Amino acid sequence: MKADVPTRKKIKLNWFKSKCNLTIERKVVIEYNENSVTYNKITWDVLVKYILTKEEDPKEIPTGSPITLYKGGLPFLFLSTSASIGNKIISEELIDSDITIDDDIVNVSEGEDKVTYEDAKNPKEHIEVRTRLDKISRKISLENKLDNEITLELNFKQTKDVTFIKSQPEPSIVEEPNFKYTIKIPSEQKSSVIIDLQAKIVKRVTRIKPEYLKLEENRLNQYKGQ
Amino acid sequence: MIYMLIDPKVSKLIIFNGGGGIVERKIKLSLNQGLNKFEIANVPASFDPNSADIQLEFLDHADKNSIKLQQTIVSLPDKNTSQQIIDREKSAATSIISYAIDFTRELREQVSNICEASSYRTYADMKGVFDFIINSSKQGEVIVKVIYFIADLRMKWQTTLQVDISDDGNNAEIEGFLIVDNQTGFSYENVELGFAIFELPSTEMEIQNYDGFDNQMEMAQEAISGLNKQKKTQRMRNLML
Repeated sequence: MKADVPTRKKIKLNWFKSKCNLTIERKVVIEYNENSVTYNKITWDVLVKYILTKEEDPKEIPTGSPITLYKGGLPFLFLSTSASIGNKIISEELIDSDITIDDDIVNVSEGEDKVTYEDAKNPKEHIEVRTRLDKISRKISLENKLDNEITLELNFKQTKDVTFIKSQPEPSIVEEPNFKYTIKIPSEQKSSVIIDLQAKIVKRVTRIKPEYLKLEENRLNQYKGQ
Repeated sequence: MIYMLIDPKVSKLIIFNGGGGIVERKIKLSLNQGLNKFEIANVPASFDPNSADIQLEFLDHADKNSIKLQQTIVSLPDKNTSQQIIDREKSAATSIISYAIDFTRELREQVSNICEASSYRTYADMKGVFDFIINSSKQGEVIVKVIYFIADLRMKWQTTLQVDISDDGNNAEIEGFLIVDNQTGFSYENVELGFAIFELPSTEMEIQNYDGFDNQMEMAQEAISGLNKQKKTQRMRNLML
């Protein structure tokens, strides 16, 4: 390609033009810890990325190149590239503000405390460990505010403290620790998933050992007697 | 020894998306018997003296033994002196602009162009020295190819993509454009362009000094010499030539 590159100027050159296939990938990853699983309300962000599969020879596109998406001759979305692999051009991931996810607690059934003790640094003290297994139900409501149907992948990722029991509907793919749901939501409609979880709630309190507590009481009484 | 100032035409320019590039210039030279010294004109001070290279292309294969490159001489202009010249020019430009109202319209445009050019000038726009000596045992001709890196972040390229989505939302037409940004003081006319995805190492510090001149050249040179010190591979990928 031959061109003039004048000083202190920008030049624009035509590079390629081709047809391509457009795929829109939307996903949300839901993950709790022992605290967040008991929150009344959580909101999650849906990440969206655009994948363009070129028909002709692949082109190497540098990361961060701007992409302007046009629909009906008007620009409607400004993105930038995150990678190009073969003839695939992949955009950066963005938060899709037209898809909202509200995650509300439905039910909590507290388990019984199981008390164990651990050594503390101070030999007069020990750590009281109260462990209980709670059963928690959460309802994840997804709303599509777009004027077209969307498909998104909801991935519940279980952690050491919060494990999966069951859900309504059943996950499409189970690859522990991931429980994936492929959800189709028509335009301006809502969909929901109810997940039953088991949360391991552990509380640790450092206390004076009972034998030392008695000695302390005796010493206090002696002091009062004086 | 004959001495000649030459200005080989830039035949190829490979631009890095991270800034800088490789310049390839070509010229056919007539040689006298003995030593022939040439000075290359219009070599920017942003060129890397260590990577500067001269390659001889012989018109006749037999010339290989009779025409030899004896040596190259490279140097960069003194930084302090160059800066003083730049400062003086900028100050003069400011004074001229102040009185530009007195010029006629045509003259005013010309003057403001000159003043604008001087206000953008940096050390990288000054001229470097790139001489070479060819030892020839006979009169003859040779094609000389001059290659050097330029470590100037003001020259770079980027792509921009326009995607027109069809009504069904599954198909689209994609159009790719290359945007070449040349904010250096050098023009390249009818040049074969190449585009490479490449970033000179340690450019972060250079970018910080993009507007201010301080140590830009020194760091740019370090950046090029640092190419061999990189632990991770950093391969240049050509898009087109």
